[in-house]
Amino acid sequence: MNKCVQAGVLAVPVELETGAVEGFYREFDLLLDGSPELIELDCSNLEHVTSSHINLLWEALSLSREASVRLRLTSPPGVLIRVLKALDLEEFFLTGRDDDEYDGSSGCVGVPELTDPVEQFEISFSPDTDEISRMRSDFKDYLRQVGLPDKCALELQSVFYETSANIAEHAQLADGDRIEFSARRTETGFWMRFVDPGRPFDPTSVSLDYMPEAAAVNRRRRGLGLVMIKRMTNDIKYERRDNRYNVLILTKTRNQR
Amino acid sequence: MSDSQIRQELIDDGVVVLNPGRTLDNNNAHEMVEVISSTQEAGRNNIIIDMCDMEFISSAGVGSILGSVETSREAGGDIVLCNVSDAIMHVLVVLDLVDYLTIKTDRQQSAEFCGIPRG
Repeated sequence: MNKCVQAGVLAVPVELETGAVEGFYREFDLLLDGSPELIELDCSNLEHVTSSHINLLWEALSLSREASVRLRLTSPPGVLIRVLKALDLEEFFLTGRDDDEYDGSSGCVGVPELTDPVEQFEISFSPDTDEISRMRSDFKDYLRQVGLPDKCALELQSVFYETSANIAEHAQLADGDRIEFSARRTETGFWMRFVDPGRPFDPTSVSLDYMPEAAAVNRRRRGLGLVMIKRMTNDIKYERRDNRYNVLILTKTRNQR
Repeated sequence: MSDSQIRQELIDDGVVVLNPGRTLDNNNAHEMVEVISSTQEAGRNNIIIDMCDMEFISSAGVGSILGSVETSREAGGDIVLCNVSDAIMHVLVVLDLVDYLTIKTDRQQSAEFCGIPRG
């Protein structure tokens, strides 16, 4: 039987109740049945790591090896990397990664490989312009701390600011509602997540017909934020969770040039 | 945080220099639009925006300038940016605006572009 060339992707559950673990293995088996060359386990939501997570990853690795399918962790947070290193499991999960498979367009040129994971940046803030400006300043300090090149840090700051401003403008948040933001460097670049309890708004569904001169002639003052966000990131994923939260995940990949 | 005041200076009849400060974002973009509009309405259509202090510009900040350029040009003037840092220039590059906007090195060059003789 010919193998499929595409990768299967599955998220590692954050909370490992019985149902979640069973569901994970069920989906994992389904992926294996499709005989992909590669299965990617998305670890981006793992904010804490327990021995159960490690057991689950180890079991997934064993199953994939039995089926001769490559397994790769995507967006592993610093805490997971540290635990895997501490348990000497690094060589099984964190080596031999095919980073050159990642698209480098608009990526971070010159970002050094991640050798010393820095803690995740997490903030919660109200959607007003002063607060967003203050948070941008805090985020800027964090980006300096993780040692990103100036241009890449500038783009990430811009993406943070524009996305926050977009949420503030479109999500119609109620008094007291806050935007949750997490970010971290990953092995492949940089990962950011916005969560807000506002009305559904999927920025990925907005088509961009941006023409600079036409924008000027038409005295266009708005809509440039989405252009910046899309041009300054490599991937944007939107999800409406529990019919209550907007979850927006933006990634910027390390350029391999 | 952004500066709340945009500094204005009349350097010649019809030429005004604006300095928005360290940031031009959602906090002061509206103010920028108002200042540029009132300057144009007063018949001063050559406007130099001196970005010597600017560290950050948002899309709203870019929009506040972009949406006003044609008004000046139609009246025979222009909006000229100067002292643009690498960071601000990068945003303009990302938005493909470098060819469209008039960007000069410094105030002197900008003033000459606006017809003010050197010296």
